[in-house]
Amino acid sequence: MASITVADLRQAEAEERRKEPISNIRVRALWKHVTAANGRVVGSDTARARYRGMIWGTCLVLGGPSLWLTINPVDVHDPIAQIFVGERIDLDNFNPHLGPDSSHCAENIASNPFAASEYFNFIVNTTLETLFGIKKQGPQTNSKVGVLGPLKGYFGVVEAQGRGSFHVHMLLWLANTPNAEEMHEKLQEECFREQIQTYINANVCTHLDDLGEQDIKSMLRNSELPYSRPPDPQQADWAEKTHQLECQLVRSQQVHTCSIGTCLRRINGHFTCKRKAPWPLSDENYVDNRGNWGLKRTYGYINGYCPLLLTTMRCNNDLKINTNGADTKDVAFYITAYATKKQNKTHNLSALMASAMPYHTANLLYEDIRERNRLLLYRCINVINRETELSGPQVASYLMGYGDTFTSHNYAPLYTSSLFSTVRQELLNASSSLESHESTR
Amino acid sequence: MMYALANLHDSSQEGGYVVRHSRTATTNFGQTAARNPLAAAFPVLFPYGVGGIESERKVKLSLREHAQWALQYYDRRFATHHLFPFVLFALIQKCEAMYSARLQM
Repeated sequence: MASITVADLRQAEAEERRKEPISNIRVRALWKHVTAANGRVVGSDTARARYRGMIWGTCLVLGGPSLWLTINPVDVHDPIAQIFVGERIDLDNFNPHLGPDSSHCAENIASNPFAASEYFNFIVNTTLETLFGIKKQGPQTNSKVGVLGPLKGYFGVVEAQGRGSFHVHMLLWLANTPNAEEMHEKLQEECFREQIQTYINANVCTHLDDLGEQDIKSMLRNSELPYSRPPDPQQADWAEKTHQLECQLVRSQQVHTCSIGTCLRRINGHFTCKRKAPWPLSDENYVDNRGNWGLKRTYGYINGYCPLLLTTMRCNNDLKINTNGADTKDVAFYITAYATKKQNKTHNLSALMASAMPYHTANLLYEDIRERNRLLLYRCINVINRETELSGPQVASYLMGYGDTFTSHNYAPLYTSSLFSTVRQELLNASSSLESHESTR
Repeated sequence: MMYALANLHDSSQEGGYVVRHSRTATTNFGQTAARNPLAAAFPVLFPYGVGGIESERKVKLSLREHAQWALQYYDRRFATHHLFPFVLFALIQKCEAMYSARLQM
């Protein structure tokens, strides 16, 4: 590895840009070592890729995940976040006209990334505990029936938006779900499909009867729906209040608006939304025997949501039900692929390492070749990690040890290479002793 | 004296500085003989230059624990500083990279 030159890395860079495998064996060795070591460094992209293994491991133990959920808490408008900043707000008798106004709130959050990460961590854990009824206490995970039914596990990966605030993508494992094969068989039965449909009706929604396209266009968007306490179920007008609130929230949080800066991409000369909006309309809910499902939708720009989650947390959310393995795989790769959006700089690792190389060759510190290679690894890792863009809240949450996942289980790495080599050795020994046994006979 | 001479020879239009940086780089890590420079680098946060990260103290305090203490400090001066959390995080990343960079055969 000590003999790698800048030219070697430049060649590897060109190969990587062409998406070809790297031909130089020494560069490949460097790559392997750098990614292995970087996986143990907090906040690196490589550490994030390891979550794939964890999700895969959870799938092996618990079966395929049943639900995919995205929660996107609004930190700038939520009074709970302001409490973390240190504002004095009476949440029991909340009055939106008292206290800091919205621009002051936004300022508070922007100047204190630590409070933003505390708020996010608190709100997601509280949601898991109170709404979904699942709580992790040390090595144990306790769960009772929550709004989505009994849960067995969850795995959430945190991502940062462009402005630095967080959202979490979460895979949820329901208890007592059939495995992929059983699922396929059961989907052929009418009564099972009806059961799924009932479940979907209760938990996912893309349509409100009195909220058509015209109503949405005439309604004003109100992004400041700040109070995070749902209407009191003890009171007589609860149903009506909840419904009103839901309409308001759907208008404000769940209507997708395409614009050139965000989702529109030019494909074949005309603009297409990368989120595939407007989504297909449908007159009623359906589940077919291959596990495809859909919801009643009369306006193509309303994104699917979980009604209870929407009225409780008052933020954008998205709930999808997984009925087959292919979706699960796509989702797992999607959420572990990057820590923040727009990280184009770290795409070509060979190019980054090439930029570290001249300094390394000019500053050779150690005589010992192993120490020198260690230093090379260290410098390569540094040059990769310093190119990643992290937002303030992300840094705060790494420092506080919250990390960038919410998991119901604990994971331990299993070093299979030594296991496999032992097994191989044992097999060789066994076969050779067998041969000697045969030959003596 | 050296600063004064350096200021005399200043060819740029910036004017002179009372304090100039040293000619040798300082180490980031506190475990070695040199001190961790964070307390000296942020006089706003450590007004007396003492109690810095990884400095000598009776009870040993790890870098991470100290970082968490700083972020939770009551007057929020560490949490709202525009640079300090990032510098700390970079330091932790470098430490971890240093520990994990080894050759596996």
